[in-house]
Amino acid sequence: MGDTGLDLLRGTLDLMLLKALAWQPMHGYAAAKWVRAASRETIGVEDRALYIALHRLEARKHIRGKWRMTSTGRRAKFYELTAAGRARLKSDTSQWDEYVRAMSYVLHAKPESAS
Amino acid sequence: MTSEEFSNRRHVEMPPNSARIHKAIDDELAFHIDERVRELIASGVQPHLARDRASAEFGGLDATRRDLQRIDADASRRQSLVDLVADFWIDLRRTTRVLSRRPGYVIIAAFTLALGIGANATMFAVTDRLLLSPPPHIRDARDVVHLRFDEAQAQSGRIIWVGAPYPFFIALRDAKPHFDVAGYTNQSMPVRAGETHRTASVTAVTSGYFSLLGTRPEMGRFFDGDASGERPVVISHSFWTRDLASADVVGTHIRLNGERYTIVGVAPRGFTGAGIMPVDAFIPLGSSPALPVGWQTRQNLRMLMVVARPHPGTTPPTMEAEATRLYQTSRRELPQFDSTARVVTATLVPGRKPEGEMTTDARVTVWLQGVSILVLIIAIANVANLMLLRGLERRRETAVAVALGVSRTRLLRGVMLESLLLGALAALMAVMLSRWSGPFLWSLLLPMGADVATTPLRDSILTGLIALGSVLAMSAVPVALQLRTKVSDVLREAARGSSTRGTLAGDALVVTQVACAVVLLVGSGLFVRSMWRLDGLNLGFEVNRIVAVHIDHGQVRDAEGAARFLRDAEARVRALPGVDLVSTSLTAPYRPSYSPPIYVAGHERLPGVGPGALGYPSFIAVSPQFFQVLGLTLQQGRGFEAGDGAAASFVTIVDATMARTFWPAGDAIGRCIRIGADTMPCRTVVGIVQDSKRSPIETNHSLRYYLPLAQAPVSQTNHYLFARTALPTAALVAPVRDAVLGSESPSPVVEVLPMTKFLEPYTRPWRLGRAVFVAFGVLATTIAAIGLYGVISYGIVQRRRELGIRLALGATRGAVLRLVLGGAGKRTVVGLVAGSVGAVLLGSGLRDLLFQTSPTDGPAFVGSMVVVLLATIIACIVPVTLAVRVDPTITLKAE
Repeated sequence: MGDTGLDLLRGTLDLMLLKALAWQPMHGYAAAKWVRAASRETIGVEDRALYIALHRLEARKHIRGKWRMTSTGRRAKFYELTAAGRARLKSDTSQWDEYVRAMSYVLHAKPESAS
Repeated sequence: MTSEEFSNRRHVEMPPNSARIHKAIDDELAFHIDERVRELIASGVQPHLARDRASAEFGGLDATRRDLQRIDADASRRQSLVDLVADFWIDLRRTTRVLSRRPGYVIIAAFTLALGIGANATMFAVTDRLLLSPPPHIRDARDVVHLRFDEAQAQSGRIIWVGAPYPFFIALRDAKPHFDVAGYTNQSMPVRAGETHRTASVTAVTSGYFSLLGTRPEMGRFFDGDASGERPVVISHSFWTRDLASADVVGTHIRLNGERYTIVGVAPRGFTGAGIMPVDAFIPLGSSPALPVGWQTRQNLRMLMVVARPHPGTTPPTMEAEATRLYQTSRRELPQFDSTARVVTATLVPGRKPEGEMTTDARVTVWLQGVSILVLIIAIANVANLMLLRGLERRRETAVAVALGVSRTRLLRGVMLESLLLGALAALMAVMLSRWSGPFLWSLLLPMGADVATTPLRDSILTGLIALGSVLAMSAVPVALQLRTKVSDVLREAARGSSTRGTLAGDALVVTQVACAVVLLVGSGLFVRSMWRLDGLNLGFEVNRIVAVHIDHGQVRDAEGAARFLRDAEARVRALPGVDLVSTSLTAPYRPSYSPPIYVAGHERLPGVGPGALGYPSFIAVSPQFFQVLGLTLQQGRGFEAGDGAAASFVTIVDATMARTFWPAGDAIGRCIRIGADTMPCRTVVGIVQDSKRSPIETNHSLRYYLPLAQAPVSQTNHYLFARTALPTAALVAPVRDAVLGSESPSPVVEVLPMTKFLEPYTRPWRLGRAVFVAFGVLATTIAAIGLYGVISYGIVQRRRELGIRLALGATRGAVLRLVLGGAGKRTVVGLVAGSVGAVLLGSGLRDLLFQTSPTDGPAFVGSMVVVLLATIIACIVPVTLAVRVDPTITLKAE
């Protein structure tokens, strides 16, 4: 797999997490569950990749972590979007839409229109 | 929560360290596993299997932990750096804002500090030049030495000669010792260059002089060899810039002593050869038009200074031994051969005489350096005091901040930043101050005047370092106070507003300032008293009423022509209105004079002669009116007459001390002295004249004798002329100059000045000491008064409530006044006592520099205390007026 592919994948995970946190602050476990559910159980994120992505996003200040009580009364680290994270989500989403549209043009192109 | 609030929170939270980071990651991952376990169990997995399965699902828990730790640690490092910079900016902005609200405080603090820093930086440059550094532009100058000649004297113990006879120099050089040698002699001669016509100081050098010193010319080249065919001259940078209009001078001509010289090069700025006195020009020794007859062969003409640079591996003792051996060999055949004579080496560092002791100028400089440090201490104490007062004002604010969790480091950073800002401002002002005052101080302190090659970079670094040191010193007290502030104490007492601890430190600072001011004022008092004594010294000569003229013909005229010119000039000056009497002489009192060895029948060794005793007998050859003009009374015998000419029998007049010392029986008249050797003609004593001081700074009388001008054993083309007047001498300077110059051409170099100016080179150290001590003393007192003012005003503001209550309870205003003044008085008295003790301790070191003044001189001490006391009273007036005006009702209502 080339570099573009890796970037794409990492970018994809970041984007999914940003989207997840855009709904509400949540901890890592909840974010993983959310991604699985939102993708209709088609995308299963590896836990290890998820946490690394979360901490990288935090280091870049796109999200910020805070310790809070869960509904079950346990301390958990909740992540929330920062202003910078919100901006990134917006720009990455529109980029992603364009990318998907372009890919689908390419993949569904008919032989005659290509000549 | 807004982002602003969040960023403020940052300062309250402890910065995350690695243990905290690890714990957070462990907790986060543990939570994840626990949640998964809970879910697995809920979905029917056996509890004892659930945990293993959750861990397995996660995959690489430990590796993940390590990755996360790395990411978070990096982020935290980056963040703390960002925080630090952000905090610094916040602090800086806040401090600048706070300071800009108190311009008075900032100006006083920075200016006081700038004075202290500037004084130190400038003084250090002087000290360095006078004491620590050899003359500039000499390669490896610390290796180069002067050779001196330590020899027993027939009549007067041992003496160290600074000069060597030329024949010895040649013998030394030809012996090819383990060191290079070169010689030079300083001469003064008239110079003519364009518009310039004055007496120049010229250094005549042997071959190898410039290459031994390793100096590079600024322009053109140096010459080598004592070539006498062409006459090359290297001019100094200051001569070039001051006396010559043209930029391109190489190849042009100047006249020295009437001889034409071609400028071949310009020395670098500040270059003074191996000595430190300013030099206008360097010429080859052989070409010099001002050398005595027979200089190449005379064994007793010690005109040549010898500089030596050791070859690699040669030490000073080896040089001394080798040079001594050669010296002994070269002088073995002479009648006055001394087998104990030896050659010693002396450093080129200018603050030291050949014997190694410090010159008076150098000692005064060391004192002035000390004085400037004292001024800096006062300035630091004053600023620390002001900062302390501000700190006390803000105690409550500080305590609240600490209680709210603002870290003490942060608060201390605020204090440090404030002093750093003040220090930086002060350093800037100090640089400007020394730019302006530096050249002035240099011209006062350095014999070479302001023509010092400055090193702006080094000076700025020095100023910066002094400023930094001051910043550290002045923030020490406020920082210590901050560190010891207990939150609870402050919050409890804040409302009542009195704090002993802070004011105790403030008191100590005020006492320090008062004490330093006393020390400085006592110092100035001692110097003022010394000057009074010096001015009041009876020299014998009545210098106050005399205009003195030095006439130098160089080689423009021969001795006969010069004598004729002198007679004509004397007649012209005598005809001037306001001139009562005129006389002429060869050499003058308090100017370089001749002290040839003299021989008196009946004395193997002359009593009283020698260093430490009465010195060496010296003569002045004078015209008959000399004693009358200079105000010396003839005590016995006759004065000189017109008949005492060159062909008449030789006569002399001795002063009373000489008569008493050499002929204690009181029968001096009719006795005989011989000059130079005991085979020389007898000069019969025909009169005894009143004593005069050997120098204007010594209590000793001289051994001085007088010869008729026509009978002088030396013939010269330069003379002195003295005009006595009842008018102010300054008014006569111009007419006398015109009269002396007359219309005869070419005109000689003429220097006309009130004779009191002759004394100035001698009294320079005292005038200098007086000027600087007085200036610094006044400065110190002012600063101390400002400090006291600050402390007292603060105390009164703090005690306003107490004073109000006292007044309300019926205390009289007088009682309040006593209360307030009592505090100030106590501090001042403690400072006065401490300062006096300090002055007594330091004063004993000043003893040698004072003139007939004890270091514990009563009037100086009393005077200083009165001045300090007055200053403190003035400092108290404003705040005390405030205290007395306290209105009880207003103060109490404010509570």
